[in-house]
Amino acid sequence: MGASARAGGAESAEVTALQAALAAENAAIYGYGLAGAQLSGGQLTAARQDWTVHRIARGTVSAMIAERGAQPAAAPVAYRPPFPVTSAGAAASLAALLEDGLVTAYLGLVGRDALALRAFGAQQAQAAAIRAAFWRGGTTAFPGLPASALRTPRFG
Amino acid sequence: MTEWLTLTRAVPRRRVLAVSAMMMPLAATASCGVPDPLAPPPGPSPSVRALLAAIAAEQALLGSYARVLAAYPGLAGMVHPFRAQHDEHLAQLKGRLIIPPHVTPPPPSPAPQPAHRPASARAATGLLASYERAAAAAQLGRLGAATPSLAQLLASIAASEATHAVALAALNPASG
Repeated sequence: MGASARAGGAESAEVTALQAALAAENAAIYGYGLAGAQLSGGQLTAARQDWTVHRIARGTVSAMIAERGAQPAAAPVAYRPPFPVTSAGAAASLAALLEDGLVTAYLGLVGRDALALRAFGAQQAQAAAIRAAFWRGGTTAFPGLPASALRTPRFG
Repeated sequence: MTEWLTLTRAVPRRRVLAVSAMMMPLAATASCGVPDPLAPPPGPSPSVRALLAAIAAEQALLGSYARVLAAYPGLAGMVHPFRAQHDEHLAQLKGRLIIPPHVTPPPPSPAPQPAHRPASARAATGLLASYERAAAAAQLGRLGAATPSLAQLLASIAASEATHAVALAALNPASG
């Protein structure tokens, strides 16, 4: 009983982390639609490619949730962007923000015990970080990690 | 056995008793699977070994940047953001390492040595891109041994290195 209760707890923690990744994928699918309306040329092509990638990932993550006997949470009908998306610059900022959210969500999977989940989470986090760097036009040292997760280096 | 009997006969009985009492805990621990106090201290845990390997890898990568910049100083400005982010990675990883005073940390493993000076600045940034890609892939190999919190840090660093690889590969420095 003790062992199976622990296994059940680990499984539900996995489902919670997968639902967070699914929510971030759903937000990205909606957000790229919004961003695409402001983009043209190469940026529009990139946004369409990323939108397709996120639709595929949504299917993958939904299947992983269902495999664990849970119901993939439905996406909200609409999202309110954190700022008005009325220019190409704002559209790129929104895409970078959505990808940041995905990196964080997938690092949540890396924090689980199952190695397969860690490996999947790490691969997805890398892919999202590369897209975030594209839309932002620069790289960061710790994609997806909140400042609170980083320790102040000790000197001495 | 004979030697033991000879010994007991040779020393006063009180001293034999004292020695036996001293030996008893050792005999008991040997038979019960309790940690042996005479065994050498256990080596670092798998997670600490993963952390040490990640630190060595960051040091190796910084060494590669130093060598490439020695050959092509003109690239310094272009690759500065990546190098600075590696300094941040190293500081963060080292901040997680607590070394007991009696333990000597292993020396950093040698950085990958290019067979010869890259033929051009473009080849040099391409070389750094390939090191970054390899470093990101190696981080993923360390995830299984790491604690959840260290695994998340290593995966984030790997993601950063993957973005460096893409950015470096896209650079088109003037040859020189």
